[in-house]
Amino acid sequence: MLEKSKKRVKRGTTFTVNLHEDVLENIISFFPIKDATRCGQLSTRFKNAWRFCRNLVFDLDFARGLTKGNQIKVINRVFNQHLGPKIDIFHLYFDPTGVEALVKYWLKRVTLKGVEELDLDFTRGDVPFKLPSHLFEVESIRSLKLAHCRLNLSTQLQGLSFLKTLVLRRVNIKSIQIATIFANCFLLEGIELLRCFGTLHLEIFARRLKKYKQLVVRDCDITSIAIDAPTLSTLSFCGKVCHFGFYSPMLNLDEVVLIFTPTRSGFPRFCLVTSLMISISNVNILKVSSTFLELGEFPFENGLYWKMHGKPKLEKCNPTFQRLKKIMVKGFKFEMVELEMLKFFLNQAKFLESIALVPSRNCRSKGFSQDKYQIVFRLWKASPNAKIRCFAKHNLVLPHQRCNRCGQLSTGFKNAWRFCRNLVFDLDFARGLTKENQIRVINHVFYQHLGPKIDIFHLYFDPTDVEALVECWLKMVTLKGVEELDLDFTRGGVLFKLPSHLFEVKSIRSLKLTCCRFDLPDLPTQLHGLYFLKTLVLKRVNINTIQMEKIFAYCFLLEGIELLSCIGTVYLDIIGRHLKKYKQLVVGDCDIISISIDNPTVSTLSFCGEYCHFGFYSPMLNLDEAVLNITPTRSSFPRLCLVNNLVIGISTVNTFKVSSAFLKLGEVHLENGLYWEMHGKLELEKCNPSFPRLKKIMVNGFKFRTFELQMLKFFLKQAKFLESVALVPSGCYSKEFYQITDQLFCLWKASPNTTIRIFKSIWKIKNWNF
Amino acid sequence: MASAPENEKNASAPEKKTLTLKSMINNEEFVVDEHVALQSVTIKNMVDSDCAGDVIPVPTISGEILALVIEYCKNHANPSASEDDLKKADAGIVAKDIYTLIDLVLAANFLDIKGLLEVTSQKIADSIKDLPHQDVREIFGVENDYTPEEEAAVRAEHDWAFEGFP
Repeated sequence: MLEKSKKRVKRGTTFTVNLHEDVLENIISFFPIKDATRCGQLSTRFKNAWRFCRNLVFDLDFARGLTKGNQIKVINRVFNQHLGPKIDIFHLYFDPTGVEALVKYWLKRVTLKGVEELDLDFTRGDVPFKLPSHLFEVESIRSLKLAHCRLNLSTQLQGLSFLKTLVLRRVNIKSIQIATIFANCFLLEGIELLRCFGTLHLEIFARRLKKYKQLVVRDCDITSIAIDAPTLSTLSFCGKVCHFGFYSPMLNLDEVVLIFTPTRSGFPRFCLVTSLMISISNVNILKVSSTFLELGEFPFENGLYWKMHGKPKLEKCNPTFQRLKKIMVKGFKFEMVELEMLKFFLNQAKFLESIALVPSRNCRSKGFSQDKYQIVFRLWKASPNAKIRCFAKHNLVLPHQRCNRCGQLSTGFKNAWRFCRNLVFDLDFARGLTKENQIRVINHVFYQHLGPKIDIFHLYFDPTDVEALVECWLKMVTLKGVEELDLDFTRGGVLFKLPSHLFEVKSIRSLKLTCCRFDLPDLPTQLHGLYFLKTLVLKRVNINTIQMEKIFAYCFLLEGIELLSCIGTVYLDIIGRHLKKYKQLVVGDCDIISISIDNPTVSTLSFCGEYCHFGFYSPMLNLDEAVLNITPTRSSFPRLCLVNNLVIGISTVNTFKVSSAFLKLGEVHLENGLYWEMHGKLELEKCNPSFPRLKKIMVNGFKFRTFELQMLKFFLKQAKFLESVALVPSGCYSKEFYQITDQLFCLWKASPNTTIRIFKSIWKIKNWNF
Repeated sequence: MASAPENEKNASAPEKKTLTLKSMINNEEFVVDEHVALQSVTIKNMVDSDCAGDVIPVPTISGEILALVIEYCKNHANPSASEDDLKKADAGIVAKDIYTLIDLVLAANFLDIKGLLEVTSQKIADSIKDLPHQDVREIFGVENDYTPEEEAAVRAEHDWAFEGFP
């Protein structure tokens, strides 16, 4: 970038440099006034560039730092010294009390310079600001946003013929005034009424407007809306229940949002809702609140009225919803009437793609499960592709850094990160920052966090000397109901001692700890939290047998446990017969010498390390994948009887990956496998395990020794349904050798479909769908 | 490409005239309908005052940029294009890096095409608005000729705009 610009300067004669400056001055005129003023610092040439600014933004941001007197001083100077022929945009956030005449003068100035976008916010004023009538005679205005104003429109509008969008907030507007606007602004594309009053019956008669597309009504005291606008594509309503009347077919309707806030008295009358439903049957996306679905419940309890009148009527009119693709329901309560209505939609909409349900708060706090309803929904749906999902909340669930970046979206999202539920301060975060900066950023996030919930907290950090601070952070996240906790203190000098309150938290679902130390309360032997723990991953953690026992005794929903490079446990007891969901055990490089497993639901067993004894106290009928990567050691090859026991224990496994050390069993006692011939073989053949589900075997570091071949032969003979065997040799062998062994294997195999392949490295197996 | 205008002139109806624009930097030539080219006030003046020959030379504009300008003119000369389509097409034309945009804005300035000048200036304004002043100076080859005292005075004069600004 630098080089290129230098070249540019060299190439440019004084003429082009001047040209550049002229063009830059023109570009600066498009800046917001604040940025344009700052550009005076570029060089003396641009000292007065701001006088040509076309973008006068005096919004909330501008007003925030200044007193009213200073605001007036700045705005007055801008207007007095403005030289440009045109002002495109004028935003004003201002309290006009006492200086109404001044504001009118400003408005006069901008309208004389052909303003196109006008945004006037007088929310700070005591009374609504009375807009001068000349404002409605201006032809240039394209977009008009007014807040806390009073407008006196004459029935014959003189101007505003090019108005495209009109947004009114806290404005007293009468039906007649709206009718005037629709009668005179032929290019109108959208109108928004937010917290407006003065209109009870809103009439949108826009048959003559060719471009009219959008109607947004939010929190106005309107009781009925009549719409005659065939080009309308977006209809958004939020507020108390109101009656809708459609006087033209709504063929272009694309998105309808109907959020009815529940009131005591006025649930929608049924016949009106039916007519609404037919009118919007062309819609593409439908978002409703549960109140809308609760129609009919009002006159009688338990939906009796619905059954007697509503249902037959709806079925009679039979709208097809040809284009309906998405439905969103907010505050769903899984009540009878709502389910009936949902069933109706599911039945009728043939091309539905997705339904999103946001359950109401009560449902969630009851621990409501939508799983059982999924089956019902599946029966109802007419479209084969419809997906139904329940969302806990419709909030920003972005990782915190991306949330922060979202602040640049617009000022409305400036503080969105304060509600971030996903605080990830992982290795990526830590990489670019010094420890002091990390502390500063994390502290900043915690102090300014406003959201009620933190779902995820990842931390990669060196806690040396700031242990108290880390404990404070952990306290914060546990108070906000953290569900996934990943703490990595690898960088610290010593193992970080976790505060005991962490184990009293009920919300944690997933816990990953690295380089930690913890004391589970010894007596009484009861854990006060972690009831909902699903996965536990411990890496380089000092954990003893008693602590393990405690975890298995109290975490009933545990699904998996991983121990990586852990110390402190010599005998690992997985006693989990009462755990119904326990599935996974991963042990990697721990100094464990024996593992006893008493859990019939285990489906994945993965072990990597020096040889250790396995004891199975229950039939492992669900075992799906067993990985035994045993690193060879001098002394302790597995004792044969124990291995036999293991082979029988895992005889129901589906996929089996072993290292060659596992196949070398028996070699230790006598040379040349005499012991194997004398005892091992006989014993194995006697017990005769059948491996009815074994489909895949992988052996790493295969050396083509007699014992290994013997063992392989044993597996090949016993496994009747074996599909594939992958061998990764430990060294290089010639092609002829492979051919001979291939033929040998063919003779041994009991299953006709078995394919045996030899791979040069373990990584190539992936391509062979292993 | 150069022989195309003669053929067309002979073949098509006389009221549909074409002009040939030639970039003087890399000698590329573009054949465009007259009503497309006349959106440029500079070219219109040349044609009106009869000082344009068959080939109109365009100095200081490269063929690459000229192609973009002609694309813009063609879009806006099409009477059936809707406003939304034009907006989309304009956004596509100005979706370029900052140096291409500056070349484009200089071209629009030279050829005096008001719409293109506005669209491009707006785009550049959006992308350099938040850049530090030193970067803006480098991009446009502006030299800071303030003495420190003068600079401080300018800053003091508009202190409201510099709040929270380094």
